[in-house]
Amino acid sequence: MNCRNVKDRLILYYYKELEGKEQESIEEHLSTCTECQRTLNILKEDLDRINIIEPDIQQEDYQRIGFAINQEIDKLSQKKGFLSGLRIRPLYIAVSMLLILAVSYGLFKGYERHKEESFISENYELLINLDMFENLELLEHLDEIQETS
Amino acid sequence: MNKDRDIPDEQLIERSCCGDRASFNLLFERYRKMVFSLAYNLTGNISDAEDITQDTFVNLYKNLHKFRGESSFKTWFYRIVINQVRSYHRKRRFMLFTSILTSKEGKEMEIEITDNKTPEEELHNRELQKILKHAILALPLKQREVFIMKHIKGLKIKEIAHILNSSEGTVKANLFKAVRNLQSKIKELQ
Repeated sequence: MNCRNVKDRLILYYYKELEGKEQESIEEHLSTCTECQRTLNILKEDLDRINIIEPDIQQEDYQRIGFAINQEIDKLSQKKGFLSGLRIRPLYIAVSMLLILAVSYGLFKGYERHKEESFISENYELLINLDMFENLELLEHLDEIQETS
Repeated sequence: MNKDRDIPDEQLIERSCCGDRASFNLLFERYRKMVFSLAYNLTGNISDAEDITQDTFVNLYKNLHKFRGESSFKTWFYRIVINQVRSYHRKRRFMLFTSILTSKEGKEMEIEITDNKTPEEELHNRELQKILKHAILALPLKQREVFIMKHIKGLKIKEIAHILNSSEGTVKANLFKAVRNLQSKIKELQ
């Protein structure tokens, strides 16, 4: 193993993350290479300095957090209970949409009927005499009838 | 009480899924310190760590039924904590170089510098402490996560890769970058 290979692996070596044979190869190299040994010493010195202190959190702080968690879970359970009667949320949404469509269709049909009835009432005089024109042959010969009369 | 300690995690999970709150509270007691410690190390702030701890356990309760036992519960749970921290950072637009180190209560994250003896070394190490505090929390989030889980929590690279849903190569790369960054900060002071 050359120095470059060893230096690339020194961090993993420090953290004991190397496999057995690789670990041995590096140790063998370090035993003969002062430069790599120096690099490792610097690395150890830097990393060994870092030890983060845990905060001094009290038992009552944990209890307070635990209480807050249970309150949140209680709220979740209440929400779940309300919707559980409707079983499945997508079904609930689908039924709502169908209702909206049905109401819209009913309103549209109502409007159509209203239009029809308005037309009939506005054109009543004309429409009651329409039976005269039911006979199409008579319509076709209207001009002739007019001439002869 | 001793009997509670003997109950395996899988059993507590199963009972919690069936609505057994006492079992869930046992899980909380078992893992609260781990969660708080990780959240605190990643944020440097007690108040944020408390919020993250609370949200993490509520999230855990909602997602317990998703635990399939493919990994250990601890690994799976670590992933929930990491995701919660990331989510928290996104929400709070976590600024790495400003007031993150002081909480509302004024409790700062401390870094103990070992083997300091003389007054000159004391002063030097206090300066180094400040630099390292900033340096660790100034690391990009992914590097910070890897460094803290490796250096502080002592997890294996394989475990960290599993928790972060990442390759071992990526974890190693982030670890190297984190260490190099911290070393260059220490060198600047010297």
